[in-house]
Amino acid sequence: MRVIDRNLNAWQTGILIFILLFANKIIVLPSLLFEGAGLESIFMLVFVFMFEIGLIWLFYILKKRYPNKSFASVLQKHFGEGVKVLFFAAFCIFFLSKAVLLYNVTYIFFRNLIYKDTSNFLILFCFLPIINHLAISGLRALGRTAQMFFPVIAGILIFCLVVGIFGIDSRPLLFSNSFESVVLTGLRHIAPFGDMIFLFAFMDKIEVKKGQWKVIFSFAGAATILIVAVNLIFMLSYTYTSFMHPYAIFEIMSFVKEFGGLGRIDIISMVLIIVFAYFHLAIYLKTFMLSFHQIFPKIDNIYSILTFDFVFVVIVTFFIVNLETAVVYGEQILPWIAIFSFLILPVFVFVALLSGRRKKKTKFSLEAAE
Amino acid sequence: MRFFCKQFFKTPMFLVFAVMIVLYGFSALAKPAEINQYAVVTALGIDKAENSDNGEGTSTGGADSVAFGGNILSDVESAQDEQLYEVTLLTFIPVAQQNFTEKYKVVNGKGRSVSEAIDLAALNIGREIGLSHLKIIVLSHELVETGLFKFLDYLLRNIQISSSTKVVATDEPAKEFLEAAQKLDNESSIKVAEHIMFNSDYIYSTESSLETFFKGTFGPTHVGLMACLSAKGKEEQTTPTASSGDGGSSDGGGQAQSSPDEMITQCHVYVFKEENLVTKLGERDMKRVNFVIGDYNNGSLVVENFSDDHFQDANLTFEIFDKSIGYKIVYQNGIPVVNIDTSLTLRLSEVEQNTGILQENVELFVITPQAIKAVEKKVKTSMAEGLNIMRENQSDIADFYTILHNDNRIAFHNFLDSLENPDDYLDRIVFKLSVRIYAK
Repeated sequence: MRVIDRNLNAWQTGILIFILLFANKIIVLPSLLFEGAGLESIFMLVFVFMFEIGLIWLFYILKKRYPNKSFASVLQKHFGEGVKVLFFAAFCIFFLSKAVLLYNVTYIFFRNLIYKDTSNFLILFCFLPIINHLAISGLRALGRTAQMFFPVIAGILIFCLVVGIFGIDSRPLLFSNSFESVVLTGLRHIAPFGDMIFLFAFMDKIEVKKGQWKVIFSFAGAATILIVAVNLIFMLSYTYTSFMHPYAIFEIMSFVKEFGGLGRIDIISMVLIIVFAYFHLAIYLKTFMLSFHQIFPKIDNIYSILTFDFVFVVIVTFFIVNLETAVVYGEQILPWIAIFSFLILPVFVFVALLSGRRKKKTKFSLEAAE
Repeated sequence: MRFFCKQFFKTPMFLVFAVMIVLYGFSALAKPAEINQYAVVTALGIDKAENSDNGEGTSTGGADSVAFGGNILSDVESAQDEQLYEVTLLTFIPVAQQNFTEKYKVVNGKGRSVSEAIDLAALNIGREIGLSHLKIIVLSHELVETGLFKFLDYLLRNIQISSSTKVVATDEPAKEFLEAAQKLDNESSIKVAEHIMFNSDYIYSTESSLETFFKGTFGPTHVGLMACLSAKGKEEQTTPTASSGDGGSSDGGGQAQSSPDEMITQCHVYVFKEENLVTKLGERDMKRVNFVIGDYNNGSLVVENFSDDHFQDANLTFEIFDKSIGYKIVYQNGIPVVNIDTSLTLRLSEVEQNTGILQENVELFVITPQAIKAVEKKVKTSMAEGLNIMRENQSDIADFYTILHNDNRIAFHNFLDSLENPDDYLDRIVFKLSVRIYAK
């Protein structure tokens, strides 16, 4: 099976960035952040988002330097084949781990709130074929599907936020947490961040025309503002009882379910969670596929999907099946992989950019000398 | 057909769909309908059960009520010294019928924990208990007064129970309260949860949901409020000679243990601090406290023995239309001075003259300056009494801790450090009250 990935344009890339920025950040994270560092954790959230946007900026610089090259060829050129393979192996582990975390939170959410008798197998059956199909259909299909669903996503999100504002009914204690606890909470919950490195895996498949970068940055900025707003509304709505409410985007709707006799409008947020989960898992799988192909360029694409599905199913079935384990996994194991997205990858990209500039300068000086 | 088959096998999603139908479609057909599996609980009552009746089955509420005593499980019987809970569930058991009528049953069970008692109640009706539609939790005063926090953990952890579920105490067994509530609902559609929601809008009461209670309990002041309701019959509350049949509302069907003219009334508000019951506030006291907090939208206030150009020794009743409350804080010698600035928009709604003569409505458009002064004095007195209630009970119901902390964190914590006992901070804060009255 050969997957043909046609290029993504700036709008599609922007929408994928918008969607992926929400991954793992609007369900369990707000409750954990408030528990760790109160309302001040919002500052940490904004601070980490600056790094996330920084990754997009880094991608922008690299893409401008190497407009038609893939990240694999850039790595190979500057650091050799070994580093390239190691990098893409890290990509595979990174996105597989993220998918496991995301799936677990979503599964536990549905099990607790919709259908407690549901089995892991049933939910897997609902998700895996569709995300596989999205990934197999190619990047353009993924991008266009995201484009089609974007108005629904944006509409529901704004509705959730507006309704959530009516539920704000607390006077939180401000600045009661130490700087240390804020930083430590941020580091403990850094696992949901760093997803923007998917752009590097898609590098040669993204086609941004001149002047369209602002579209990408606008989507990223809008997503950041909306995520911070969801977190803030949740924290201001629940404050000291945040620990009782582990599903933020759902909870900000459920608190006002009596409002205006509209009935259980919290169901609307469930639609958002479902749509997001499909896209997040599909992007993770697609990035895994592209990275896998860089490690094993000669084997068929179907093996990358089968590998992802097999490892994914084994992990989610045997290791992480409840919220407690998922939180331990997200707080104690996953934060370490953030080193890759926020430290190792940027350092290598910087070195590649600098060495590229030095080579250029040397070339010019040699020409001048001649 | 051949084309169809080709397309079918070429499109993987069709295959997935087919597998899904085979795997889940047929198994779903074989399962009993969910409507027959669940009992939807709309109200939950918790009582302290007496160990002595472990060996006896209990029967409550006649034909519509079924009970599950502690006599089935031997381990419950043997637990003579342990605390037993009796859980009463007002359940809606869905039955497919042509007409749409909701049929409720009162079910109960006893256990060493709330969850065990609920399980035993579920065994009695042979259905799984669904708490997602729970609207109200009723706790008997016995439990509330002896150790509320021992069994609240279940309510805290249960993900099915919505945080907006109302929680109230009752001055009678919760079981009896729910039976009376069921009867009221059947006869007059008076729903207890709606009752609480309505009351909380008034100055005499407080919001009493799981969320507000836990928010107060886990907040910096650790003060939680819980409303108390009663569903006693009128003759029990007022005159012993009152007949129960005068209102014509009795049918009871020969099953009700309670009085036929029962009404739900608010008794008082329980105040808890750090897991202990501190005090009970009556309607008047709650009104005084609410003047300080500003947590109300409706209510009225009475100025007694008022005299001016129009009235002589009259009792004036004002309806509150709008209110705003602001706190300004200054520090004098390290001691916080809290200025509570209240604005009230009122309308004179009733005049009770001592002469008993009905007069012309002379105050149609304005409230006289004398009346405004009298109202200001009345509100200030009420607020001062409200502050005294908080001070006497060392319960910061208004959450001045957060207000002062957010205003000037360093100055407030220096003030706390300067106190021998930082918990006494309410006694040391200076309050200044200013009230502005506007006529509607």
